[in-house]
Amino acid sequence: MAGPKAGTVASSTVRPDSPTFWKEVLGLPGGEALATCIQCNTCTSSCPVEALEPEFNIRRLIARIKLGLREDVLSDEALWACARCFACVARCPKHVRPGDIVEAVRHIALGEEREGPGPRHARAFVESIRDGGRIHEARVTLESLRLAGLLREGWLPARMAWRGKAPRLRRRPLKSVPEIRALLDAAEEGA
Amino acid sequence: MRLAYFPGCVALDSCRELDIATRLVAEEVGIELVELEDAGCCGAGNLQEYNPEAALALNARTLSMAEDLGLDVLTVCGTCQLYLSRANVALRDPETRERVNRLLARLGRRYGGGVRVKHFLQVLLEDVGPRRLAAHVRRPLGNLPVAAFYGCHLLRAPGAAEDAEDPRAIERLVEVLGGTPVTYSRRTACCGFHVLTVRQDVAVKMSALGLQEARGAGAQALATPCPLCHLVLDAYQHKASRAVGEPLNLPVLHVSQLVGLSFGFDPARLGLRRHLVSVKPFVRALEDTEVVKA
Amino acid sequence: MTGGRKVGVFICHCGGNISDVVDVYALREFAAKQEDVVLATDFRFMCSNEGQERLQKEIREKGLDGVVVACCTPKMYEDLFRGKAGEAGMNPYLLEIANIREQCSYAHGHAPEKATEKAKAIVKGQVERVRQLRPLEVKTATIHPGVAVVGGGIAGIHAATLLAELGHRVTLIEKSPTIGGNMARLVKTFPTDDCAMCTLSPKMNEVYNHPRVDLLTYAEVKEAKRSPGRFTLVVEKKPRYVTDACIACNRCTERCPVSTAKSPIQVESEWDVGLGKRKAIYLPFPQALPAIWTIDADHCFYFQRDRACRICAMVCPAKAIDFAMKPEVVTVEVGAVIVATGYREYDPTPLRHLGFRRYRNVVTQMQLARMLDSMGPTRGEVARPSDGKPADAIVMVQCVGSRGAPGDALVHEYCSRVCCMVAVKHASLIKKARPDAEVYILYNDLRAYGKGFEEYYASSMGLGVKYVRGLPGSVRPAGDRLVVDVDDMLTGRRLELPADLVVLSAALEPDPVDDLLAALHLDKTPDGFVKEYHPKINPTETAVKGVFVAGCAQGPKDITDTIAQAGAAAMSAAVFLGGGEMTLNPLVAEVDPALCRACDRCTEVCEFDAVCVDPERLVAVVDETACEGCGKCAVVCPTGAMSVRQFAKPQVVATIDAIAPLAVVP
Ligand code: SF4
Ligand code: SF4
Ligand code: SF4
Ligand code: SF4
Repeated sequence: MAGPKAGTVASSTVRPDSPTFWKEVLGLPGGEALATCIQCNTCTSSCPVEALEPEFNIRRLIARIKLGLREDVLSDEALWACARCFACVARCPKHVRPGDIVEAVRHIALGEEREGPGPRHARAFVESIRDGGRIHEARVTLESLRLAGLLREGWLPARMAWRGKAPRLRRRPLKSVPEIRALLDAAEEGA
Repeated sequence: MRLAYFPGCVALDSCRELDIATRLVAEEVGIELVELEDAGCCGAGNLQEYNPEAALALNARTLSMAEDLGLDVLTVCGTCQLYLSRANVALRDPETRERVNRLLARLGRRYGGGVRVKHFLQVLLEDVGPRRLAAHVRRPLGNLPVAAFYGCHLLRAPGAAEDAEDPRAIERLVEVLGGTPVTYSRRTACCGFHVLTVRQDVAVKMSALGLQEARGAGAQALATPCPLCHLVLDAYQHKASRAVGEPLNLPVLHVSQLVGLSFGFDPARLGLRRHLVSVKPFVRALEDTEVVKA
Repeated sequence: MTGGRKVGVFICHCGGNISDVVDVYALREFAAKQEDVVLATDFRFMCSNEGQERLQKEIREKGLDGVVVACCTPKMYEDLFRGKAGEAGMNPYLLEIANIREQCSYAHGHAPEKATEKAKAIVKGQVERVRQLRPLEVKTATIHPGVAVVGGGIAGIHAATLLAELGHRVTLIEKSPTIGGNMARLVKTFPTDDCAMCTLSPKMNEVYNHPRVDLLTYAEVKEAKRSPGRFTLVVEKKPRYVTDACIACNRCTERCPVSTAKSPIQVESEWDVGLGKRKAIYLPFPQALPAIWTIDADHCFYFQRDRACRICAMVCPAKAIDFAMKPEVVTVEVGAVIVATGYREYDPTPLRHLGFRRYRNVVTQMQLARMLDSMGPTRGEVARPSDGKPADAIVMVQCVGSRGAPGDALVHEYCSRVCCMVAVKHASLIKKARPDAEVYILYNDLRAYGKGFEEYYASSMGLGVKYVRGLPGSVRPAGDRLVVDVDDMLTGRRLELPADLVVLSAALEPDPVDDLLAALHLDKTPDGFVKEYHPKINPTETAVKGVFVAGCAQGPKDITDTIAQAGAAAMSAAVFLGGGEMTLNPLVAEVDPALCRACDRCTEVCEFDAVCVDPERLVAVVDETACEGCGKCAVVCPTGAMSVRQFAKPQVVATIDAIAPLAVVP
């Protein structure tokens, strides 16, 4: 998001910018049960990510969606911190499936071609499926982290290589890649 | 017994040892693996986020391949198990199945909904069964304390026989293999794999907490049924050690490897040398235990 | 068809509500021209005294034997006008309302001319209908003056006492060996911290000693038959194996070997909700009534181990033990039944993340109540069940099994209403007794809605009770204690709360009494509680005339509300019984035996179980006390044998034929 304009005081207030955002999420796979959330916090109390990174709060995410804080939600990098452990889905007394709501919201963000490490990773992953049918770990890692990120890994790649553990640098695509690509394209058209 | 084997992506890439160990163990207990060589990735949540319909179709394609063979699907990965069985449940709805079949029709495929998706751990305990497993044990794990690390996706997969809050499968398996299971509360925790790329700091700390508690409970090795958990717990363990400020040094074995070891297979054949945290002390301790004659 | 009727039509202006739109004079002229109509008149307010008198006067003077009142909806004054017509000597069932207000003037205010045309059609339809009606005989039945109250908790005790005071013979039926119900376990009651037993015990004694109350304990209703004005209940009394010669000396219990350290038979005490043991011969609690001991045959050596033990019989000074006692069946005839079967505490085992039955130090609020009782299993000390050590840190979790997802069979969707205040009460009691103990209440919304509740909640904060907003993710062991993981919305902090005792505020759920409900033809609301006649304006009656509901059988309630509703249910029952006679609604289904083929279709669709096929005569028979006249049976009957009185096919067709040609196109 754009930073504060010159001459204005930076403020952290937000305004509901999309009163129907909740319906948008409700209409996507994973978002169906959004409306019945009673904000009991069982999800957040179950979330292993929140225990380490309070910026990512799944209950609050749901509250923000319901309130219509669309830009606030979609521009939030913390959205990409969910580890998909689905503890929240298992325990939510209202069967709201909070972790699946994350999936729905990320779908919207990806559809708007948002930037950042999270969207980059998701796109690299999908590209890898399109190219090879299965994941080419080395490539997904490189594309997600970029060179700078990879360098931050320090000696790990070398140590993995030494152990014969490193992901293959090249991976032969599946014979059926054209078929898979056709299927993905067809699904996208249909949508 | 024959099963349509879906190794997934990681067991054929950085965790090749899992594929190798699984094949050895399966052969030993008389399971014929018919590999679904042309099956695509399960989507691992990423494809599901990008395009849920595409993910559903790709998994329906995999399931239809097994259906053509008349076999149930075997997975060796928690995430594959979760997303394939989630797709399978969604495809039970006739309307959804028809919709997806219209896409599959373009490839000349069709899924009738008649396949079950099972993880190797479940197959070992339920289909092979404790008695037949025990009959293959040459090198009982003895007093070596082994702790489980289940990984959330295996526990949350629809149709999982286990109580996700209090699972016992790996502990039962360790007992069948003649070992001593150690329990600790984070054995059901999340390894953090799915944020490893985006938020490595968080993922490393998540795995660190589990490793630390298991160690504190006296475990000398962890056994995991998921290659993604393995990747975080093993390859990133040095970072976890840094995060908790103490060397963790806890070898992490794939469940297939643990079974293979107790069957008396050569550790090298099971790919144990590929691990970043040395399994040597554990293997040495195991070699000191007595070998039973068949 | 019938011909020769003398029909009067009375058109009401409704003070302008009708006449401002409908041309009532044109309508009157029109009505006067209809066949058999001997009188057509209009008036400002037919419902006024004057209007009623006019109606009666005309009936008498003109000898009317058919009346149409064109006015407001029949829901308003049909009963009144029929009553007045009856007083004037006409058969009341020959009077019909033509609704020209809600269905005409209100709806078509913008088109007065068409409204007038429509009013004509409506009136003509009703005139034709009245010409087809036949006089109905109004039957009455004498109501039996007795009442049965099922359930001996505080609701049943209160209702039974009130009705007995009013002079009714009351049979109080309780399935356990004693009356008192759940309230007897509660130790203290919010918001006043009154001793529960001190308030309950006098009421138990009052009902027990009341000359007009017959008490059947250890007894269950097996069958209920309805006939006009009367219910016949078949009640089975289980054998206590102790006669009323018992002098309450307790020697048997002292010597009974069951539940002693080495005994192979151990029994958990129901009274202490599994926190303590009891013997096979026992009195549930010291104040139990009747104070007659009971042998639990399922856990007694005599019954379970082939007469291996008869110690109680040997030590009993009163020779009260009778191993040969048999179940006894009693038939009770009453005119009204009050269902007061109460609640039980939800079992939180399915909520695995909360650890109930996985960790011994996770208990429910009812178990905590027992601990707080100075006569209870821990003598009033709040202790860890695992080792009996005092609990220094107590974490309470709200909404356990309540407020769940719709359709989830493992939990309830409703709010249980009392558990917030139960937690506040127990937390306060602990803090008062041991200020150094830490008590946390993990809640979502704290519902302190009743009189004095908010003040009580606020005062608990003064005692140092800590409130954490948010429900926990998990309860896990850590050493010999537990840790509760919860994110506190108020502080925005993720907490790890160490706990010696985790207390689950489990839902209230209806005591399972499906057999009783089936026997009485009662329905349940989707939440499983007994369905009341109307949830707002008639919460004590049911769809079955003469059956009333009181207390938690109808929905979760605290004691105050239970007492209030039990009183109201008793009042409703008294009013029902007070007339001594009930009018049977003649507008119910009837069978033409000549046409009935006993196909059973009507019995399948009837929601009130009011039709059955007589197996000997092979014709359907309508139970006129049960039939609501809904007409479902008449619709499915393939031969036309079934019809609802005054709604027989020719009667309905006459109206339609009259209206159809006059149909007004909007
Ligand atoms: S657990 Fe469910 S109901 Fe509770 S706050 Fe989270 S999503 Fe909402
Ligand atoms: S699925 Fe995501 S939001 Fe839910 S508990 Fe796991 S990490 Fe947290
Ligand atoms: S049954 Fe006999 S021994 Fe037992 S309390 Fe009664 S009188 Fe005493
Ligand atoms: S009364 Fe309170 S604790 Fe009980 S269900 Fe309602 S909100 Fe939850």
